[in-house]
Amino acid sequence: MFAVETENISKIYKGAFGNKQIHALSDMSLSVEQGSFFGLLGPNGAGKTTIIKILLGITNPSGGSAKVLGQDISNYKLKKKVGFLPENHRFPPYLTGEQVLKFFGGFSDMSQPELKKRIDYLLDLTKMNDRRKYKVKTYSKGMMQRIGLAQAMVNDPDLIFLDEPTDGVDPIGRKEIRDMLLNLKDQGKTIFLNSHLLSEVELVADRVAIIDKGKIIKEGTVKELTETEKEYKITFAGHISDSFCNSELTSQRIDNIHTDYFTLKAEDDDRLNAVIDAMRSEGLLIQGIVPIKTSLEDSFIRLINTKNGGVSQ
Amino acid sequence: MKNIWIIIKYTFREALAKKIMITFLILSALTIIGFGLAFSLMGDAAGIGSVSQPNASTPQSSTEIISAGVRFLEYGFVATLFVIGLFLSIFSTAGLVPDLLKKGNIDLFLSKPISKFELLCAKYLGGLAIVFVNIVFLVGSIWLMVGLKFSFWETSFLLSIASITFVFATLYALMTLLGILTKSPVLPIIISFLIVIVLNPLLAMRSMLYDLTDSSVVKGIFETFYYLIPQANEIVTISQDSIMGKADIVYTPIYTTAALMIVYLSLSFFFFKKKDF
Repeated sequence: MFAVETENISKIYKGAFGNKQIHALSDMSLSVEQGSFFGLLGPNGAGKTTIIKILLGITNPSGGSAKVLGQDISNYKLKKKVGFLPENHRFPPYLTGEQVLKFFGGFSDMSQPELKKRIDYLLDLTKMNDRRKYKVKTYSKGMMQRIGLAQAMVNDPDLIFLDEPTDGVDPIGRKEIRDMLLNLKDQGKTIFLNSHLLSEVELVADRVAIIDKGKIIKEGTVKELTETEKEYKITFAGHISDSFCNSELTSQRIDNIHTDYFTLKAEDDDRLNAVIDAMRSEGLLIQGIVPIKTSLEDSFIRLINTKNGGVSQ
Repeated sequence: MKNIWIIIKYTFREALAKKIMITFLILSALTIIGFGLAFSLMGDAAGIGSVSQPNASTPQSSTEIISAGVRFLEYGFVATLFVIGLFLSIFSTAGLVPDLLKKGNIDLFLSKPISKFELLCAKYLGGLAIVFVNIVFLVGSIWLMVGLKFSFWETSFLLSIASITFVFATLYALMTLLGILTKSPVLPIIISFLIVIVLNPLLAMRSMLYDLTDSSVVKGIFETFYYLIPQANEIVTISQDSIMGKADIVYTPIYTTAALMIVYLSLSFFFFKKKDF
């Protein structure tokens, strides 16, 4: 069973008089396996938050259908097993961290003693125990995110939606949140993460979808998305001739030619060795061969640029 | 029911934290003090009773005269308490629904296993409960003061707790609807005050206005407005009539206002369900 399954979900926001239409989502179909860590990436306004809000019944879809934990999203009771940390959440400022958890935990099926135990556990987990009696209005951004995360987990959910959970959190805090999320995944929970921080998603997500203008433009594992032709930076000493650069072997494969290095795209190791042999024949001294790694961020930028008709980098 | 109860409790807590409750209670206390000062200047109820029935044809016992005096006093208080009670109630609750709808707040609520119907219903009942508690304090205190001063306990005066709360419930339903549509407390406050201060008194004397014009369009507009807003003036009159022990009270304004409240609430639920957050 999929934790999340959408079929041709679309969302059109209409202007006050119905004249202006914004297509926030267009026929989006995606599925997230139970127990997986799914990352949704996209530029601002791509529709990342909209899809989460539709799945949680906060926003109504204009078309299509969706299921969460095997149930149609129109059934609000499915949220008993779902947690959500919204972006820019506003907890009642007059409540303490502990009261926030008690209040939102009240909607779960837990008994009062169970809930109390759960709250104690979560305050420990999020390292907010010493601030539990302080009002949330006194919390820093990082603390707000921690208590928000605890709030998202208070009902012991099977599926957790997180919208920019590390927004405003310092690097150490980000690492701690990341570890917490990985721990949840180890417990068999499904995590659906929206984030701008691509390097972070790369570290934790099993599968990633990149959306732009309400459409999924690429979906796969991080490895699949970052896998490109093997590319190397080759540094050398000596003079590189035009005939070498324009030969059948190298003309389509080498790029960024400088006096001491160039980049080479090689389909396989044989081609790489052939180029190295050709360089030696030219009398060039090879000083280094370094594989160029493509990050998720590189793939993301390349995909978005390609889709928008820009230059692929 | 559990979810509704959680939100009602939360709304009370919100009202306490935002000093809504305390402000309401302080203003109510000031009103009560004002009434108390006025009482201290008054003579006894028998005197007031004589004044209130100058043309009484049959000789009356002193109890009857005191009763008439107290009823006359309370008759006068009802209209004042209606205006004060509604003013305070509108101010104190206007922000409750728009605050709920603020980005970052509504998302948290709607991500919980609570239906939109339950959420709005609970928020509405929470606001109503806050007002009810304060109206009980305001009207109850005046009733106690009158009772202690004149040693006469006219229980029908306490019906004004129900009638003020009822008129407010209808206004609050309209405020909820406007709050959902505009996500701001400004328009709900303006419209509510317009109704209480301008439209209600104006429409209550519309028959006099009809004497000044033959235009069926003008009459049509007035009649339409009359049935589109809570008939507060008529409900004040019903409260006053029941205090005076009138037998032939016409309850139609209560039914039409109740119907209006149902319409406002239905529209509120409809738009709340349709709205994207």
